[in-house]
Amino acid sequence: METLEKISKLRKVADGLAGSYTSHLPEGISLRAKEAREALNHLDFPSTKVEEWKYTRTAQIANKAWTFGESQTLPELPVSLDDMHYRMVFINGHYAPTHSKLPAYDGLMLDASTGSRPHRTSSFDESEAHNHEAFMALNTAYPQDGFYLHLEKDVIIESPLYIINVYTGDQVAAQPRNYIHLERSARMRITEYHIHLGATFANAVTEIVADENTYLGIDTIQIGGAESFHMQQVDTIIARSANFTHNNFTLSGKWTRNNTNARILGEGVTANFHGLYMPSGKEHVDNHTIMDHEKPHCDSNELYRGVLLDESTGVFNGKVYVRRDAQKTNAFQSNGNIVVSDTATMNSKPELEIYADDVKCSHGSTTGQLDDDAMFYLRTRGLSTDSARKMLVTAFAEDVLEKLVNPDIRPLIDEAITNKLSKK
Amino acid sequence: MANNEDALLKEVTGKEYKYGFTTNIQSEKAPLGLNEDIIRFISAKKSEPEWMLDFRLESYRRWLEMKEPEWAHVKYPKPDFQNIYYYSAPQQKKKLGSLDEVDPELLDTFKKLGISVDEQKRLTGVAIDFVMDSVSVATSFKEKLGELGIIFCSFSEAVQKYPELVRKYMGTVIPKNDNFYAALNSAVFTDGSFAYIPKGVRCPMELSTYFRINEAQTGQFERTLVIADQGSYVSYLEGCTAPMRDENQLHAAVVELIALDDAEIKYSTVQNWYPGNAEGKGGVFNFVTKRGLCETNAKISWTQVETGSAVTWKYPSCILKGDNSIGEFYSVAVTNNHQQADTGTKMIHIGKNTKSTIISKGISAGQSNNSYRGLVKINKSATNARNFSQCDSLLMGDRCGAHTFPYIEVGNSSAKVEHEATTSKIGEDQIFYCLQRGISEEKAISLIVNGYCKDVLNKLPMEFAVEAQKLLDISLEGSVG
Amino acid sequence: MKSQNMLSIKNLHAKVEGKKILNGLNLEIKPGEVHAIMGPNGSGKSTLAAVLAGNDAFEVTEGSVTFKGQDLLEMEPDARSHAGVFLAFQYPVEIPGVSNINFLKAAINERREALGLERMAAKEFLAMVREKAKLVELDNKLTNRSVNEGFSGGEKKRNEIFQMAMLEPTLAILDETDSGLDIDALRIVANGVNQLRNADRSFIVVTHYQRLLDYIIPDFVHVLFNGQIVKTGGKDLALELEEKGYDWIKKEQNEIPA
Repeated sequence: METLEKISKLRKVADGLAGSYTSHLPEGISLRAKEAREALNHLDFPSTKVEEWKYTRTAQIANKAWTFGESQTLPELPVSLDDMHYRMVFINGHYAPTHSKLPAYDGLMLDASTGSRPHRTSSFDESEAHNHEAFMALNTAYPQDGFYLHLEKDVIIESPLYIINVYTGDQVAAQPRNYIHLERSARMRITEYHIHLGATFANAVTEIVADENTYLGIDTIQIGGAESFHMQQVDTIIARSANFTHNNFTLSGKWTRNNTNARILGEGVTANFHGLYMPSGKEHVDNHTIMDHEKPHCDSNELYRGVLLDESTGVFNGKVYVRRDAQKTNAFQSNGNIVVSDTATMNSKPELEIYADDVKCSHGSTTGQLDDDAMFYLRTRGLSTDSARKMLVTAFAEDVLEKLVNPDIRPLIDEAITNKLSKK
Repeated sequence: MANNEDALLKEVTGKEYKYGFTTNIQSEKAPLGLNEDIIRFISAKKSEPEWMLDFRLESYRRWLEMKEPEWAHVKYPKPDFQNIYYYSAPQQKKKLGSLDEVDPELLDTFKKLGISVDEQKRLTGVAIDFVMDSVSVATSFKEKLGELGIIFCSFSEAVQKYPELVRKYMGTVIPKNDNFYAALNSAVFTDGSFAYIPKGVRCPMELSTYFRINEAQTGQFERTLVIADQGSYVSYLEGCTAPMRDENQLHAAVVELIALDDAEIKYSTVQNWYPGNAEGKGGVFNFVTKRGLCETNAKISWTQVETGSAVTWKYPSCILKGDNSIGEFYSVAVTNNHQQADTGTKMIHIGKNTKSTIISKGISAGQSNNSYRGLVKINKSATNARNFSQCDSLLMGDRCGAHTFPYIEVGNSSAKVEHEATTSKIGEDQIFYCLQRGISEEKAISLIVNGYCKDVLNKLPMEFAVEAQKLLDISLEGSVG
Repeated sequence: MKSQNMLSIKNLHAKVEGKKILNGLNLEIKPGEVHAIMGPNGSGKSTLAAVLAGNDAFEVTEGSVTFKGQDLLEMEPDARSHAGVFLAFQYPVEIPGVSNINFLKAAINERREALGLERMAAKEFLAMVREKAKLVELDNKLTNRSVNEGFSGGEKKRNEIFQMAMLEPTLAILDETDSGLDIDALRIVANGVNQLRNADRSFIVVTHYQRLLDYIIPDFVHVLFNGQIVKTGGKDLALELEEKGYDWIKKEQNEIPA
């Protein structure tokens, strides 16, 4: 029967991982992992018949045999660790203390426990926001090292914390599991890299609890190769008066799927999701977001921009829920795409579900090509086609780039844009 | 919180209608009702030529075959067409040569309306054409305009003095069988304005007309025809007031504008009809057909600010027949109490490279309903047509309604059509915010409403813009103290 | 004259939607003083601000408020504004179609009219706009936009302080001005407020979080609980409160067992 076959694909992958799983889980986590492993028997990799996966195929992950990799020497990276004052380095899901430099602050608890503790305190399980069970269950069943960060109240860390995840090897999988808890009025920035250097599959989960009046800004940069698969889930709970920003930059990689979700549980919150993606060749990028307003007087802003080259494909699906009590919500969502070649495809679906009657919400989606008139104008001013294209694309990306929480990484992204366009 | 909003709304609707009074002048009336004899009576009274009578009779016969239109969002008790006087003229001793000979009682009426004719003559140079219950009383500045070859007179006079012009253009933009009320008007119209601007002439002053409905049960059926010959320009103003009456008064006008090659017509209306009392009784039924035809490179803009009228049914339109022609529609419509408005515009693109712009701002208060219904039609022949429409609704309180029905029919793939619609609300919290900053409630509403309407008010000729702004304030202000 | 109270609140009781929120609040404020009001959610902080500004959704059932010798409760909200009361809203309201400039011009001129002064000349007004906008780093783009329309949370709060600078009140009430701000916005807002402190101007800073008071240092800190001020101290009280939490107050008030 077809169903059995599907289940066994997930089961097959899970078994492969189980065989190579070397982490030791603390008591509380192992209980959760056990539950998740059970769940794997009833779940399957989503097919394109599932609405949330309509445009993204999981077959290439499902049909391969994956094993966890070993911790090893740090390969050569496209970024320099020396520039990163505070950093945590993970190789194939294993913490590499020799390459890391942890900040020491009163009130900061930071370590790289396997599977992170505690287990989910959020109720993301129950909410409809939960949108992919197979990958989530897989990570919960076999979680690897990740960062566990707890900031006590009023603690402010000015310097950003760099997290570098490196994935290398052949048919290697990694499942970082991260947890962030900022107590009341605490503030912090994180700059996170995911760098795939081989035929690798990363399935990363980060759970975030932002208490009242906190400020948390996260820049995530994803760099991949011709054979890399990246699945990323970020679930956030935001309390009253807090300010939360998450920026996702997908610079390269064969297959990327990001689920970025936030539940806003208190008044007076500002939540921002920004993203930039530039698939080329036959790359595929899928960004799904959920912004869930449960309380009144909150602002949310979503801005995702895409530049699609060659035969690449892109997906954007942003859901904004405004619940009945969330009066005076201001929710804005915008997805803009430039399709540089005739053969690239973009599927964009913004969704607004509004149950309150005194709100201001808007969503917009545009997909188009580089403005011919603008290109011609720049050419007549002496710029080559490549330079002109780069200028227009950078201008297009500027709205997202200026939202960087850590401006130091701007040059890296600029360079990535140049490289992507030059190959064309 | 609810109490507050109620109080605010009560103040808004309680403003007394300033122009509620009548003139005691002997009227000569036709007998009640409508039939071919009445039409002959009207035509004879006006000494009309044969072709005019034929036009009327044909229209009447078509009207008999037509059915009254039904529109989903407007509810009203159907007028009884046999229970109306179709002709009423204030008695005059002799033909009027100048304003000096105007009946002093009439002049007094003008004063009550707030129009100081002499002052206007001296300061603004606006030519005035007063229409008092179906007969134009005075037409001033005829000589000055005459020097430029511009004709501006009552419709009746035009039929007598310039029959070829009238016959050539009348009914070409709005044919007699166009719709129920246009047909009725074509049969029983009594008067209105006529303007003709010769080739290449730029009319140096705004042409203006005031209307007034006086007698009970008198329908007002005015007919206006403005012709701008090649390369000419004219700006035409129309403003209306009406007295307090218990029975609903019927107003079914027809306005035809013709802009020949390279010509431009600006048609502005500031309208203040009696809206019915707070319970919705009385008020004016306003069914108007207004349409302009643009030849090559011609331009017609309709600008209107409307308050009042118990029921309004009105769609100024442009037929963009000539290549490169432009049609514009700017409108502010205010409804209050139990008023209902179903207004909008039609832009018909026929020629190449035609352009149309629609900016419609609706303001609803009380328990009123304000609907915008617009049609943008791009014919197969209309290559490279452009349209931009913006239809906004402002709600005051939460018992009123606003609806937008845009119809966009595109038959040519090179067309660019853009439509935007927004809805906003003046709520208590905005009023309180203004109060806390030291701005009184009256001023706050005025600021907000004028800010909301400024895109439209900017299009009005200056003297009208000031009047329009005051009119908006008055229609929406609460009493102080 | 300096020792005379600018604001005197005696035994103030108020309710909203039938529910009693203020239960006999007493507070004295002298010119030039900065008073912080802290308290758990529902204690009445925003209600106090609303009552002082004259929001009639809130009903005063007992007590008196004297402002510069006048009975404040008898005055309409716009009259209170003319008298020198300014409320920086927790959730500033958007007014589409009315530019910031026109809005402030109307506000300033209505006040001048009420006080029997001449209207402000356009040139003088624009110069004042430029000067005050610098205080909160509000650029031209924002001053010309419609009031708070399309402003981010931080920009709205900065706009409140900009308006305060333009209207030059004697009593400024900041209602949870720090809510939802990022680091930069908080610094700019606090700096703007600090620049407006002088011997004749008093501030009531309503806040839930101690952090703001590191930037705007108060002369007095009051703890509001169940609609009454139950504790008054210096700025150290705020730190103690942050550390011990509101449970400490609840215990002291015998709301929960020690």
